[in-house]
Amino acid sequence: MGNPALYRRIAIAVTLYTTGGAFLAFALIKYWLHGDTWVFGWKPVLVTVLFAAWFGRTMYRWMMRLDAQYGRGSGWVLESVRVKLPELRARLPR
Amino acid sequence: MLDLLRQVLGPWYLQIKFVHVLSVAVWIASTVVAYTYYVVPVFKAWRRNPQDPEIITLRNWVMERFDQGIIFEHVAFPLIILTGPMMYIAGGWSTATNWLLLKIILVCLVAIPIEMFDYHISHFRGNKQRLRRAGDAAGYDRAVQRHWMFFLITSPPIMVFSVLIVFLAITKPF
Repeated sequence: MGNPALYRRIAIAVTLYTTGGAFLAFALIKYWLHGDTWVFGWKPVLVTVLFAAWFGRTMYRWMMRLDAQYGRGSGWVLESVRVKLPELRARLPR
Repeated sequence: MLDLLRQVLGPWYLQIKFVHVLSVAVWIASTVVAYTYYVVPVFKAWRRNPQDPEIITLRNWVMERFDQGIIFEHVAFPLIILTGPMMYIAGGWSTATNWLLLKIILVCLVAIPIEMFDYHISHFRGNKQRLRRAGDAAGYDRAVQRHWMFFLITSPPIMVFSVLIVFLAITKPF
């Protein structure tokens, strides 16, 4: 399974793919199909960069928390219990 | 051809929209409780106690139930992909509408690739129940770990971008 360094690389890659990809696709479609150039202005670029920074950091922290790398786990009690777990009956071929 | 489709679909726009919105609701929300309160706590316990046989048993059980539970989501998603373009044509929309273009791009870039892989690991070669019945213990464990890695990587983008997609559709901000 993963480790913090791997999760950091994944967060950066996913951020570049999603945010960068969405910006590029949007800007190019607007430019080629409609001749719009406002997407290349400083405001859309700034919004995209700020969103990417927030998303990348959030994604890294989210993965670390989800994979139990952050925190001590003290919010959970783990006691051994014996339970019967229901299973689906396999369907017989007709 | 497009004009013909527009004429045929036009009178049904609101009905198509109903199916689309309902499917989006199912796509986003149908697995939330199972994921948040069953899958995540059990997998976190397993990550802290990776050799505990009781936790592994529960992990596997939860994972197999989740493979089934996600069927709702995976029935809803093709309906979204089908009704979206139908609305696009019937409503006379175009890429000149900024919020719609961004929404379509996010669906194509984020949602479709994630769901394609999710179909594979939930129902096809990565289906855990099938691997268990085939007696492939090593393959089973690999499939469970791969599915967990899939959750780790896709949870943040799917949560953020699915909310953003709905936000764009409702508020039409630009």
